Amino acid sequence: MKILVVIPAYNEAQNIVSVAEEVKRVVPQYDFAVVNDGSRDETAKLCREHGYPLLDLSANLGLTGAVQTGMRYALENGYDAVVQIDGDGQHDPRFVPEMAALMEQKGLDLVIGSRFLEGKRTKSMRHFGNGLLNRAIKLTTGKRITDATSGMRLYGKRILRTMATDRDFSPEPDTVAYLIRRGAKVEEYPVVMRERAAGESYLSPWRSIRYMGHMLACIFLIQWFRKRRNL
Amino acid sequence: MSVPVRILLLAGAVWTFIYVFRCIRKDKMKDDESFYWIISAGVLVLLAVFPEIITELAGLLGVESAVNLVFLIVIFMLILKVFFMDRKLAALRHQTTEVIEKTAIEKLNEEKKNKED
Repeated sequence: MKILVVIPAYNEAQNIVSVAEEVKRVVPQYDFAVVNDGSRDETAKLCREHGYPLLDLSANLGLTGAVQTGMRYALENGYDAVVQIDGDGQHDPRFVPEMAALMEQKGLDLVIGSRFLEGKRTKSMRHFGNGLLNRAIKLTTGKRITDATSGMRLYGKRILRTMATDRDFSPEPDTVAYLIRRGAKVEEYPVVMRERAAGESYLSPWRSIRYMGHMLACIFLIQWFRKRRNL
Repeated sequence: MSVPVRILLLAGAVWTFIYVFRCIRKDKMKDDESFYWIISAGVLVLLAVFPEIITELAGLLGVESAVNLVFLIVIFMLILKVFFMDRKLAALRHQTTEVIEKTAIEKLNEEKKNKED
């Protein structure tokens, strides 16, 4: 399976080199591309200096646009799957081959790297929000998902085209619900995540609340009105 | 509707007309973009010149003060405008996104080709 590791990065000058080097070292069998999402720091410059394949967005599009660019690139270059490894260093690439093996073995369309499939649950606001989304997915699709908000996802060939070209398919929990409902085969694989290595997280309390509201509205309401399309 | 309100409506409409036509003449506005403003200014002129229309309609709908119906109509027109502007804005955003994504991909493809040569 030809896999492209997509590394979305927004102002990650402090982390991007170590993340890319780790990908190169741990999974040399896969190609990777950094997507610089219009960073204002030296992210792009560092990538060029180190010769990393760089998809350099001329303006900030947000995570959806960044990941979608990577998928578009993968689609055009004949890749079979795309895995998202965040530019902040929280995703460990050593799990990717295992996720890929699960995908091939079971013929899956999406493998989610889950923090909670085996690991213990901790109690925090973030996990409360995650649990709420998991329950929303269970309620609307019947499928048990333990880590809907995990960004570490492996997208298979069958859904790549839709993911790359359709704006409604953002790399977010609502898409997981939508994909399941459209008949995509989704499973989780247990992974361990780290705290972001350096710098600041994008999620402020206010943003988190808006994010939750948006996700729940999509899962419970808006998705049901969407035009039916095949994957 | 009181005479001052009618004068106000008329003045507003006439001013809109003048401004829109000046924009068209200076090529700052395309014909189809000016359509909405010309029509809405026309409606205001109509209401100011023939207030019977609005009084009659207000009686029919049970709106006590005719001028309130004028407000209602204007609000409705504004909401429509905002809705269509929002849709236009979304379309523009999607077009920009696609351009940005495609340029980035083309640039990388080119860099790869240069490396191979």
